[in-house]
Amino acid sequence: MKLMTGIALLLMAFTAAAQGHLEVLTTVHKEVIFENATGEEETRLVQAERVVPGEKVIYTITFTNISDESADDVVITNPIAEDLVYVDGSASGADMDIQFSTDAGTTFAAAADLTVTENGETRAATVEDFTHVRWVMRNDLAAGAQGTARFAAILE
Amino acid sequence: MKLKSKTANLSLRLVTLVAASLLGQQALAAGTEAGTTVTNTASVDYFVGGFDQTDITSNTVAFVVDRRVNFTLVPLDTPNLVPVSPGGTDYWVDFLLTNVSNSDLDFDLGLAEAALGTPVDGSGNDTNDMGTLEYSISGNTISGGDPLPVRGVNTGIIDELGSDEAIRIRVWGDAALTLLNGQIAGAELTATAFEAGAAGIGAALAYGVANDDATVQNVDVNANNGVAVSVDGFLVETANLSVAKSYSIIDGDLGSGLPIPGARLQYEIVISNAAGASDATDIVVTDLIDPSLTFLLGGGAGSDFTDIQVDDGGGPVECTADDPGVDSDGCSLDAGGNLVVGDTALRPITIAASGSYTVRFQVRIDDPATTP
Repeated sequence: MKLMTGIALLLMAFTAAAQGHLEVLTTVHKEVIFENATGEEETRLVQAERVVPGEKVIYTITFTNISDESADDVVITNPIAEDLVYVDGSASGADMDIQFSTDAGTTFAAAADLTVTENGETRAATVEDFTHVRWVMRNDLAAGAQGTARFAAILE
Repeated sequence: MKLKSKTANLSLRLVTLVAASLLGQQALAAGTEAGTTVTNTASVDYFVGGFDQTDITSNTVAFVVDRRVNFTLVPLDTPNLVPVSPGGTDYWVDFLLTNVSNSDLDFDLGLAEAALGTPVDGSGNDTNDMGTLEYSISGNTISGGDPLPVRGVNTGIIDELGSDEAIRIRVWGDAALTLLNGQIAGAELTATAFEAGAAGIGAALAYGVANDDATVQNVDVNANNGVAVSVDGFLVETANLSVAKSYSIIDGDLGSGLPIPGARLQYEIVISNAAGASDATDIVVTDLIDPSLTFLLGGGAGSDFTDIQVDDGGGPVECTADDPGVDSDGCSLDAGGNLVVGDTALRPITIAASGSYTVRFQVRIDDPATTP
């Protein structure tokens, strides 16, 4: 049963979701450091096929406007899985504001503005508190245009 | 909620760490359990022409968390060789096997005498074999109460050592009589990891197989193919005694300087313990007086002692050659000519390293012409 689930997920992994005006593709990779021909260390992204606790995975969300109309107020939201911890400062996206949630996606704010209340005391949120990451495009996504959002997380 | 879950997890880990620190070890958190599927799906919200559109969800990507095979096998109380005496039994050293993998593991154990020259627990190199070695396993893990291993009980495999759990393995040794003072006898314990799950030892763990994000694979963190070896051992501490007997002619030799009939001799027995050796205790010196000699009670004319003189290094002391059990000075001479010095109950004799114990007595060589 678990194997069948894995195969189903694999098939989904290579299929971008195209609904309405946009097509959205998510991929996951991990960093591998290797030594190049000149003996220098280089970091490459490879398929996240063998992942153990402590390793970093990188998620990339690619979205394309496949319609003839411009899309505006585009917001990409990605939950951070329970077993992952967001890597501070890793989220990126051209011309996008990056926000986070600590309450399962109910509210979002810039990382520096987030707080968490525990036992009646309020403190600044840390990466361990982040449950979602969100990218808010500052500009419209023109017809045929493509954008990329990315973040990294550590497997606990 | 993510925060609550992590708080609970932290408490659990703290308990484990406290338990481990009691033994001077440090356990590492094992992390997400092998076999866990981690999925990710993004969603996009957008407007077209001022109208909110139905959110679009991306494909879902997933990977299965692989098994990080990571465990330690170390001697407890390092460095600390256990002192043993030749012929002694039931000595032991303890090892701690800690599973810091992100999954339960089975372990098969192996035990052997360390090869000559093998470093033993940071305390020296192996110089001899103990003679008899065997192991037994604690009936439970450290966090499960750590009941101390019993010799002959739980002598097989470790079936299911949980992630972040540690267990005590005790190696028992009986010291061969041939062991010498200062020798080190190492015990080499080997632990091999197997897949957990079914009762008994599980399947062998395969390493280096092709990548696959849908199945659990094994990552050999320590690059040892899931086999850990640790050596601890025993230090032989025993006395190293030597004994020397000599005589000198006191008189009656008619100026010949020879031990002729009628001559009076003084015997001296010196028992010595070598430097660096352990104390020799409960020493009893026995000397059978030859039938052709007559033990001189009272030491004879001009003697500076009476029956027997003993000296443990603190100066000469008188001792009486009376029948056994007459007094408590530890010296006796029975009718058969057995001279005994030392009594383990009444007057135990101990010789420390570099020390000695001296016994002196006098005899006369019988003259066949006058002896019936």
